[in-house]
Formats: sequence, structure tokens, C-alpha cells
Amino acid sequence: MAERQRPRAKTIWPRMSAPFVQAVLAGHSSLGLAFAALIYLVCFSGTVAVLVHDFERWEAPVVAPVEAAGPDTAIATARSFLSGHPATEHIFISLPDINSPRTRIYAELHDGEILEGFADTDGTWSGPAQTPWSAFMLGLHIDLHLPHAVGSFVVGMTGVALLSLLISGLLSHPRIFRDAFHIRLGGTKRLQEADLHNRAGIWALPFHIVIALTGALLGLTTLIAGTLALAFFKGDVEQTYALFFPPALEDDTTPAPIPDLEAILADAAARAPGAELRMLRLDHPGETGQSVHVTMGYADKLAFGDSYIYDGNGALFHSEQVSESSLGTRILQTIGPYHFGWFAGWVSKLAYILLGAALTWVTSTGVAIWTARRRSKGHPAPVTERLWAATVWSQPFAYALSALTALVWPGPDPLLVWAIATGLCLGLTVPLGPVALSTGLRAASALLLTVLPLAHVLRHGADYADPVAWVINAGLLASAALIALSLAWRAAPERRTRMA
Amino acid sequence: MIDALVIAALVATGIAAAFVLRQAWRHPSAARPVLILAGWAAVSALVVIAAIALGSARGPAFAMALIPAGALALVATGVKRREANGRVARSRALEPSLRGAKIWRGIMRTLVAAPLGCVVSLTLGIAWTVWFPSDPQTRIVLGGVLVPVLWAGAMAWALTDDRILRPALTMIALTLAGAALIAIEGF
Repeated sequence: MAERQRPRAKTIWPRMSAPFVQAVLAGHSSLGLAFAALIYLVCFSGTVAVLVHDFERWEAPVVAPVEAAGPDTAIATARSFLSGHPATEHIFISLPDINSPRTRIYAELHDGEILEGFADTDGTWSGPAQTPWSAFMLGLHIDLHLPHAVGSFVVGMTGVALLSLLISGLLSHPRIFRDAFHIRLGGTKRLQEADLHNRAGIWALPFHIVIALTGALLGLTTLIAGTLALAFFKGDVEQTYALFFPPALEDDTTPAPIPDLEAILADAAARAPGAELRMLRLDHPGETGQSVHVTMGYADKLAFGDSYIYDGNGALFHSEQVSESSLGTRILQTIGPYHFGWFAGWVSKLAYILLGAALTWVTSTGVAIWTARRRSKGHPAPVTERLWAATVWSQPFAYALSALTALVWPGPDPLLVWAIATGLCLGLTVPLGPVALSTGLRAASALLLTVLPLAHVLRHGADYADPVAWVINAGLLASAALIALSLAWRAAPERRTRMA
Repeated sequence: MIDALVIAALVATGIAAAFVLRQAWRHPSAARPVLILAGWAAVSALVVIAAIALGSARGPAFAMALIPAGALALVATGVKRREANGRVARSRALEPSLRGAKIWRGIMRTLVAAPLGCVVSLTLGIAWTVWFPSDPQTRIVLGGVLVPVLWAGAMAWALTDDRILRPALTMIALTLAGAALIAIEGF
């Protein structure tokens, strides 16, 4: 009541006419409803994907973190891998960085097989890493596991819709400053959800805009590049991409020795003082047309770094310093770190998880406001209420179940488990109402998230070579506790009567 | 060391700026404009300091993530429980306008917001790429960034305007103008 007696202060927010705000609200509602499930899925999966490097380490905790890595590690890794796989087309060796203290290998063999994994601390390649769940959850965020061109377009369009919702959300909020600090729980469901929706939407707005814009751009890359190619290069997309990639050597499959990698890395280090080796890439190793690509990164830059390419004789034939590269190239190289929060280790990851969860929450409460409004007007939408409750709470459940399955029974594809679990949750909307769905799925999620770390300890033993497994296990237990707390809060007798 | 200091300063500034703004919001007085100015000035200054201390790309990235996180944490501490006074709280929020449920209007809006919005944003993005005086990479990337921004704006307009023909005709005109600009200059 005290709030009502407070004198109204002037606001600098432009006064908007009621019909305009109502029209924007109508557009905001219809777009939000149309894309709600997709936006929710992309935001939820994106929040989890921030930790993909750490979940990879959690799935393969037998690989110890690398304390210090440099040119010697990269060379040892290259030799170790190539000795077992002489028919290699390309090999990328990424050295430990702020995101992950592991030496990562990605290789394409002549027969098209792709191998990914981690080297041991001494650079030894001990086989592909078994991290199917991490690959599943990253793929779900990037292209929903649809054919890449289609999936990334859908995700990109979802980013555009999110950006559009941010615009209409701002325009439909004439009390943006007047309500800037109101978070009032209790009362009607609609007012409570509106407060949560608006506060999390406004105070994290810079983050929301950056995530939506970079996500849309990453998703629409194929469309934009394809359109440019149609307009200017007679449909040849390679010519568009070629503007951003260094020139390639002429293909010559005649066998040849691998050039002196020590000398090449020493030369690159001399050319980039203050930088450290980030990536060593060998194209067509062991052939006359081979090349060695060295990336030297700087601690104070988000861009990958300087690029030096050497031919099969070890002679430099192309270089590009990040300080001299075009603005466009530098922007392009910073989009990924900006989108995923991979620029400051745990600090940025934790901030991105908090803010990503806020964005996911904004999506969830948006639909809840719409259904509550319908109900308060005497036009409830019970099917939407059920579907939305199942959509929101199916994801923690399906993610936890797919992770648990991948851990204890590596046979089934995590994507299949996730799809079945999500489908099952949606199927439960037939017999169950929204309260039962929400309560049941929260309880099941909390249970699975509690079992998951215990199963991890049983599966791998408590003597982890990589201690990050403990961090992830603690995070899983904390998530379970949070969900259980939300259940307890929801079950309070006072809320049961007032929020119905 | 510098990183840690700037990180701490960014979170602290997010909290402090939100605190100062909340003081201004809670207690309207003569000092209110000063407090508002101080809150936003602190945020702006720290974004600049972060850019200088951590790098022109890294600094703003830190600021974009940490200042809102700090502010959100402070705002979350102000959670209040609505009084149980036996009355149903009334929302002062406006209701969305009722447009009727004509199917053709819905189809029209969808077509303008999605395919037409996509075409006009792509056309204008490419027109930018063609005309912007810079190297090809910068022209393409900036043109590419424009595409989702323009499409989002077009989508919002198409779904908001009660007269759907207005955004539709404007977007068609802009598409034609963009195509003409592309044809004139070439890549």
C-alpha cells in the first residue's frame, strides 16, 4: 500500500499512446506464442552449452588437465596422432586455453572419418573421446540436429524472433522506469509472472540483445553467404567464404616428409612476440601439397590471433596479423566468444549461466502471463497451459535422463533418449493438468539430477584425474536442490490457495 | 591481476549503480536527477575503463555480462511479497488490442513478418555491403549484422501495425530500392 502513496516522479521514457502500446502488446503476444517453444529450447540448450567444454571433461574425467602446454606439446600430439593415422587429410590441434585445460584434437581422415579427442599431458593421442552427451547438447543448440542448413536457419530465425520480441517488449512497457525495481511475489499469478518477466528482461537487456543478435547472425550465416553468392558469384558460396579464409596450396598428393615443425613454430613465435600458440593445423600432412597453419593468440584479444601458414618446405607463404586484419574479420572472430561466454573462464561462464537462465525464465513467464491473462478474463486456454508446463519442465527432465543414459548405458544415442523423454512429457498432457505436470516433472528432474552425480562417481570412481568432474557434480546437485526448493515453495499452502 | 580487479569492479559497479538508481526510485527528492545521472555515469565509465584495461573487444564483453549480473542480483534482493488482503490485485497494465480473428489477416501478417521481412532485410544488407566504403570483409560482416537487426524490426512492425498494408507496401518499396542500389553499383 505504501507504494501507492509514493508521489509519482517524472519519467524520461517517452510517453506512448495507449492504442500504440496495446497494438505492440498484441504483436508481442502473437510472436511470443508462435516462437515460444523454439525460443525456450534454444535458450535452455544455450545456457547448458556454455559449459560444453566442462561437460566434455566431466564425460571423460580420466584425462588430466594440462598444467603447461606449448609448441612441444603440439608437436608431440601431432606426431603421436599421425604415427597411428598416416592417411590424415586435416588435423587441428588446439592447445589448452582459458576455456579448457586440455589439448584437443580434431582430425579428418582420407576415408572421411572424423576423429575427435584429447591428448594426454605429454601429448599422446590415446583414442577418440567418449563424450556423446556433450556433442548431443551442443548440436541441439546449434542446429536442433536437423540437416545443418535447415537447422541453423531455424535457430537463426528464432534469434531474429527473440530480437524482435526484445524490441516490442521495450515498446510495450510504458512503465519501464516506474516499475524498474518491483519484484512482487504472491497475489495473482499474472502480476507475479509479469514482474519476473519484466525485471529479468530489462536488467539483463544488453546480454539478451547480444545473445539474440549473435545467435541470429551465426544461424543465418548460410543464408546470408548463399544470398551474397547468388548476387555476386553466380551461386558459388565458396567464393564468399574464400574472402575470409587464407589461400590454399595447390593439391599435390606426391608423398613428402612433414616439414620441420620445431623450426616453423619457433619462426611463428618470433613473428608474434607476446603471443602464445593457440592452434597447430596440418593440411594434407605427408604430401607435397601439405601446409602447416599456426595460430598465435593474444591474452587481451577475443579474436583467434595471428595466422601464419607454411608450405611443405617450411617456408612462410601467407600471414595475417590480428592487429592488421579488417574490422569485419575481427568482428567475425569475436561473435563466437560473445555468444557462448567463452572469454573469461569460469567468471564469464557463470555470468552467462545466470543471465542465460534469466532469458530462459523470461521466455517461460511470457507464456505464463498470456495463459494467466486468458484465465483471468474467463477464457482459459487449458491445452496451452498443459503444453507449456510440459514444454518448460520436459527439458531439465529430458536433459538429465539423456545424460544419465549416456553415462550408465552408452548404447542409445542421447538424441534419441532426449526425443523420447520430451515426447513422453508432451504425451502426458493428455491425462495430466498443468499443476500435476509441473510438479511431477520437477520432482523427476530433481531426482535425476541427484542420481546423475552419484552414478558418475560409481561409473568413474571418485579418483578423478580431472577435478572439474567434482565441480560439475556439485552444480548438478545444486540444480536439483533449486528445483526441489521451487517445488517446496510451490507446495506451500498459502500459495496453493492464492495462485490457483 | 588487472583482469581480477576489473572483474570485481564490474560486478561491484553493477550492484552499486543499481543501488543508486534504486535509491532514486524509492525516494523522489531534489537529489533524484543527480543519483540517476551518477548511476548511469558509473556504468558508462566502467565500460570505457574495461575496454581500455581488458581490450576493445574483451572489455565490453566483460561489461555486458558482469554489470547486468550484478544489477540483477541487487534487484533480486528487493523481492517483496504481496499482502494478503483478501482482494484480487488488479493489474494496471494495458491489455493487448483485439484485432478480431480473421484468418487472412493472420496469414498476411505472417507473410509480411517472415518471408517479406527476410527478403527486405537481405536486400538492404546486401545493398549496404555493396555501397559501404570499406574492405570486402568489413562490408560483408556489417551487412550481415544488419540482416537480423532489420528483420527483427520488420517483424515487430508487421505484427504491431493495425494496418498491415502499411508495413507491407513499405517493405516492398524498400526491397525494390535496395535491389536498384545493388544493380547500380555491383559488388
